[in-house]
Amino acid sequence: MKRKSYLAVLLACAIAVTGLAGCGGNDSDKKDTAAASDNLPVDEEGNPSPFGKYKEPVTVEIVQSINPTLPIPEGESATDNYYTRYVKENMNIDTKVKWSASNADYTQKLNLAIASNDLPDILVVNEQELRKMVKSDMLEDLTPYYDTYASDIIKANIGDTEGKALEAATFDDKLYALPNVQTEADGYNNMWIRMDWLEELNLEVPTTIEELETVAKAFVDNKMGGEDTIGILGPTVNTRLYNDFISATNNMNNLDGIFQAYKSWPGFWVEDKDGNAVYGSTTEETKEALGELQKMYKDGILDQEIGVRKDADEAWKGGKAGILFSPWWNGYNVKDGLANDPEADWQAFAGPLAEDGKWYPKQGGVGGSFCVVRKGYEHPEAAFILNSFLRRDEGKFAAETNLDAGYYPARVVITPYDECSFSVEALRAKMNGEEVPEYDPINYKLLDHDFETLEQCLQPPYDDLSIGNWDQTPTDFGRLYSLLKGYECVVDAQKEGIVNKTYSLIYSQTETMEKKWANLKKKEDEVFLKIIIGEASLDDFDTFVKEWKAEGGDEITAEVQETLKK
Amino acid sequence: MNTKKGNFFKSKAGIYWIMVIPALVWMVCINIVPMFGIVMAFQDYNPGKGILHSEFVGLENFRYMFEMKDVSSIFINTIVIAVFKLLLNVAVPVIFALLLNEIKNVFFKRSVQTIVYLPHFISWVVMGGILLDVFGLYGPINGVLTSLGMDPIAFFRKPELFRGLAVGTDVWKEFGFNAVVYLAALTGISPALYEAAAIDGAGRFQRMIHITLPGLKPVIVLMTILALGNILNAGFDQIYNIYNQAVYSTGDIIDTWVYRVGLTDMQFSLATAVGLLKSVIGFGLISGSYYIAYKKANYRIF
Repeated sequence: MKRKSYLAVLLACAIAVTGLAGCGGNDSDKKDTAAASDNLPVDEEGNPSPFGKYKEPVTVEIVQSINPTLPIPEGESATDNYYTRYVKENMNIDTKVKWSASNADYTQKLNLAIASNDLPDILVVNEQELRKMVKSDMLEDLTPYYDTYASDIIKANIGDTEGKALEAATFDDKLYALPNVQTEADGYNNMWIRMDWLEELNLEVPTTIEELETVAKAFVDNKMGGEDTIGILGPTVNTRLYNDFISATNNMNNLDGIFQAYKSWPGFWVEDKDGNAVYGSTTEETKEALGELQKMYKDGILDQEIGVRKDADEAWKGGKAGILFSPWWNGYNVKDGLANDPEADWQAFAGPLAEDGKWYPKQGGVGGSFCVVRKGYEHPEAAFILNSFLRRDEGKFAAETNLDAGYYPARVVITPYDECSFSVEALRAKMNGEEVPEYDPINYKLLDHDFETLEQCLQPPYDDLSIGNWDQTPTDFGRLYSLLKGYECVVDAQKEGIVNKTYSLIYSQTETMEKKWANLKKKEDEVFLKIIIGEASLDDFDTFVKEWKAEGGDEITAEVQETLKK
Repeated sequence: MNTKKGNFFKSKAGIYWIMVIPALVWMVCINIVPMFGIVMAFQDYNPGKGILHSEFVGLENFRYMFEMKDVSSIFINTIVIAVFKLLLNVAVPVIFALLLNEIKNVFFKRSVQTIVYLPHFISWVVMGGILLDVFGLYGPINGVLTSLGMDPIAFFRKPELFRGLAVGTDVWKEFGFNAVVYLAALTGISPALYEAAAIDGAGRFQRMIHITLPGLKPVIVLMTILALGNILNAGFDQIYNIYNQAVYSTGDIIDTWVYRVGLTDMQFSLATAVGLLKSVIGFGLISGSYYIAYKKANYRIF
């Protein structure tokens, strides 16, 4: 008996020990290969140049943020592919991948790397990380390299932001990063709607909140997507209900479209009537919009699983949802929905409109991602030349490889602000047989390629762009569809003069926010979701505002007000 | 003690010591060395300067922590969820082991045992997804409810239900595996005792109460004390995969909060301070319970 109970104890201990297992980390020692400081990227005449090539091979350690659902073409890998070969051949740079993470996990993994100061040589970070790293003195000062190694086109695109892009990357008069410049289009949340459902029910595209309700209700009542049809789709669990000033663009399946129709911009810092800074999540208009959302939820037309929905994309791709709010490039994903239901005709519209017939879309800042260099890395200029080449040859890449551009080392996207609008106009001119406006094929880097692929995807005459008339097999279907069906609504709305863009007063955190924001944001996320699903009453909004103000909100508002005066 | 080296390695204890070395090295590297990181709780941690050179701010992080209303609620959530998990994760497997022990059909017994411990091997990432579906508005549970004419319930979005769900699903997932230990202990109880009791006229239930349970007592006490060390670990893996903003008020635990503040918002020092406080309380609890177990049950591990 004695022996047997020992066995039990031993087993118990073994179980306890397995419970303790953690994960260890190991520091790989960093060796900077080419030590010679005279090994610079030079052109054929030997002058340092944005398009120069190192005489001696240089190694750059990078990290990758990749979309795991995109296939990697045969013969390519994350570490040896078209881009690494291109970089080696043109710049004599060997790329070494320190780690890769999916887009969703990248920030978390990167924050951990920052906390342990275990950085790759060149990396791409967001605004919050940039400030933390600058404050912690972890980054190389890039001021001396910008003039020499940033290409003219990059400088021009950055210059078009009226200094805002560089300002975001400059601290104490030192430039610490190459900022991205995103196209204006990424900020708009367009209303995507199932046109085939609308036609089946003989309904019009909704332009007001009331019409939106009617349409969504019709979708649900007629069970267009089966028993559990979702009228208006909500976001994936634990993601944003609306764009905020820190993450102001590129959030999918959010509810901004509905808030905007009430001139409510939660998550943004806006000016009130008297010109004072106010946080959009605390305004009366937002309360009104929340009341509407609560009603929509109760009526069963807003996603009934909002807040716990495991994967919102899966819901609409699976043909369950009828209306959603996402940026123009959701068109890239439309193909996935077609695999499920070849009839699924998703098209984007500007709306719903506010009572005054205007559209008040939130807008992003100039950028939000930054290419930075670890302090002590010997070739900081590589960050610039990598992106100079990328900016010049991206059109070529699109023609030559199907590998996602996310694999390009240290990539920040720098585009002309009006890239999408211009591309839409140019494509439409061509399709209507009109004269295409002249353009610089390097500045509008993908436009040449767009023209080439247009005929693969669409056959003339181009009078009906419904999904049935597209050939979805070419890789570039996603881009053309995004432009022509995902973004033309914005172009048209702008022409009509009904677009009143709303910018946030700031797109970065203030001093007090660094400490107190997590707490306030938690409060906000909780109360907003609870009100929508009816777990909290609309009156709790007032309590939230009061508490929000008392627990640091007022202090922060004063700081934002301060930055305005400058 | 052996003084000569040769003797030491040849002696029985020496061999055991050698066998223990890998585990000791592992423990020092993984468990002891990182403990120096707790100084971050007293610093304004600056990753560029590292732990050794960051500026010390004394108790500033703790002061701010107690200013936040949030903190008391996350501590309460953690303790409530953890205590229930602790109790039920002992009680349910013990009861299950006792019941299973009474079954005479070996094939049935083995099958049940295998089936119930399977969920243990599914990670919470996968299990969380399964649970969200099962308890979802269109999942089987709500299917039953609606067919009975009741309104569907969004289980994981109800703050009042969340703790129950968290504890219940955790116990369901782990009880089969936890029962293994008790089943092993049961085989150690001498059949002679049962035979003697049967002759004395004790029924099945009486034998269970007076022979089986006392036989299991040492293992139950041991398992409980070991589990107490985790009293403030309410289960990050689980909660993180099933919670959402609507249940912050009852479901946000210390670990998920530290994760959000530390890793997402990069307030490393503040997150460390909360984590440290959690460890200190946990240490107090395990010492206390060990002392009580020693006094009351005369049971010691060390």
